[in-house]
Amino acid sequence: MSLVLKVAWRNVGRNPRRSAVLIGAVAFGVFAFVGSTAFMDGIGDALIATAVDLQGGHVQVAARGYDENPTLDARFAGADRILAAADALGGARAAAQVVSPGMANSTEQAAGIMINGVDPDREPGVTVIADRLVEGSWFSGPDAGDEVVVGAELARKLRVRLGDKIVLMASDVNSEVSASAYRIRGIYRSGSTPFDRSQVYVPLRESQRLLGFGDAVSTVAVRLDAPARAEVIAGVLASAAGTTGLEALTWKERNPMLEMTKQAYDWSAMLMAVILFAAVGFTLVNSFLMVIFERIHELGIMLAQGVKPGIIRRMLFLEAVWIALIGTGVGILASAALLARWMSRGLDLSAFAEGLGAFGVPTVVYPVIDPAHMGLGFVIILVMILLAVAWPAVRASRFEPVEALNHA
Amino acid sequence: MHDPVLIRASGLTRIYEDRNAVPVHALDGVDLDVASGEFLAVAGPSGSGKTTLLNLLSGLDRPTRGTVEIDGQDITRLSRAELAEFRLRNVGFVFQAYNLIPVLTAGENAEFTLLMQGVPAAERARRVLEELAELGIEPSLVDRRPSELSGGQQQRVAVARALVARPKLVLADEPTANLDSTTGARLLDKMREMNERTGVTFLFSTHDPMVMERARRLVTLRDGKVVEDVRRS
Repeated sequence: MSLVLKVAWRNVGRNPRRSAVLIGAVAFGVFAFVGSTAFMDGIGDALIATAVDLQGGHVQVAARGYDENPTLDARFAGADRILAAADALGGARAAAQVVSPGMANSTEQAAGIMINGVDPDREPGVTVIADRLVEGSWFSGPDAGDEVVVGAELARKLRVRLGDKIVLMASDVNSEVSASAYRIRGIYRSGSTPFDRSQVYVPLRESQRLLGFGDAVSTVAVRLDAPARAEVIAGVLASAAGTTGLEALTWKERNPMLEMTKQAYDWSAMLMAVILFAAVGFTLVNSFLMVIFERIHELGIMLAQGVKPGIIRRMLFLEAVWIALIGTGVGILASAALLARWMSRGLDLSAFAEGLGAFGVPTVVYPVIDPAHMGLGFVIILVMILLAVAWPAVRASRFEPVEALNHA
Repeated sequence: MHDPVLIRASGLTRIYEDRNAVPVHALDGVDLDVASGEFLAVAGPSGSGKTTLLNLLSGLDRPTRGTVEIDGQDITRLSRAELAEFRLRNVGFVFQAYNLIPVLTAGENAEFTLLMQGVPAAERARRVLEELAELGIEPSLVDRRPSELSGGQQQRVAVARALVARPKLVLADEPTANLDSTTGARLLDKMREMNERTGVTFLFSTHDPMVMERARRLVTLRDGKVVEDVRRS
């Protein structure tokens, strides 16, 4: 270790109480930054997951204009060609879907819902509903005509249980009311209260029969092993669709607000780092001014011996870096201890679910450690700390040796 | 017969001016030549200008008027950075209160200036151990911090720190003021021995008779002026 680095390190231990306060301030800032950023990233990822995992996958093929105006008229036949093209890509799983607004009725209650006709075999490869069943099981097969899977919130609202019957009603393609009774085979809990209250699943063929779709579908949803390839895959699938009036949209194109929200979360995380460490920075400025005041005579000795002002500055910067590193380490350990449990089990925000639901935020948030965010955050933290120490360090390096030596 | 002139101070004047007070003439037109290898004490009562003279001769302070030439170079014309470099290469300091860096060990304190000079690590280690041994610092004390050393030991480390960088000039401001007479006498004898052996120039400011007795030249200041300059054989 160089002598200058050694002096800086040992200076950290000269006033243990003050150093402990400074390290504590940095640790608290890091703890608050890591914690809040992990939660915001978790919420951002959950928003995306809601769009991707629960609904349309990474790429969705549908009739042109369906995304803006998802009516029954925007159905299309020949989904098999799209499915085959997706299957041939490798790293992609696709499933056809029928989507229609409707009503769900129990003997006691009724609720407005979305009817989702899904392929019982293919759908588990694209969305996560089959994995989120908390009661019962997934469909017995493609021809399970009277089976329905509902969300826990809808079951509660309709006051029904597993095995009970409900009636689904919808307007078919001829604008005629169509209705059928279904037995509840499975109840899911997706993590999003609004989703669980509104989305009902029936086998694809049954939905096509109910709505008079024939072989047509509303969409083909495609899930990718490598989400970053979404744009490329969308282009391939659009070509496969040919001139059939279909379009392939990525999840970002279908959810521009979601992408903007995610970006806003990214910026707010960085803003959080700046604000937190501006506050910590003021503590550091004050403390380092005290440090140099206490060491004026000693700095004078060094300057007298010919130590260059740059070395004095470097010494103080390195002392701040040591404090920053220890504080950051303590902050990371503290936040890791707190986050580890929530990262595996999730943090249940159901007490705030009503408010969060309005923003599409799931009731269970899994904090996420995004290396890029954390890395950028730590760069901001280090820059803020060095900026805070810059003024005292420059002041210290500008002392006149004689005046510093005469300082008692 | 002395060696060529190392320090030449001409018309050296230092006036401290304070907006609300009468200007103080700390030094008033001092002319002084110091030959290389001298062992010289500047004596005089408090306020006579001893420390001011040492500060000006070492480039720690700038004169109001006059010049200071060291080895023919007028240091009053040097910039702040040039003066720092000049002190690093040419001047060693021994202060009254030892003034070692408290977080460094005895060895590291002595090594610090060498590090600033860019001396390679192996040579630094060799020279530091040699110099400390020369001044009677036992190897077991090398890794001790100043707070673990006696006053005499600290002052010897301070002398080692000043000498290890092989300066042309060592300035010692009241170096025995905080030492008991026995320790002070031993240290002075050691410094004089090193002066004779290495030829490095020592310049003391003092009111300690023990220092004055050992000096081969005694310059007395009063009210910022040289009133006596006595050479001894």
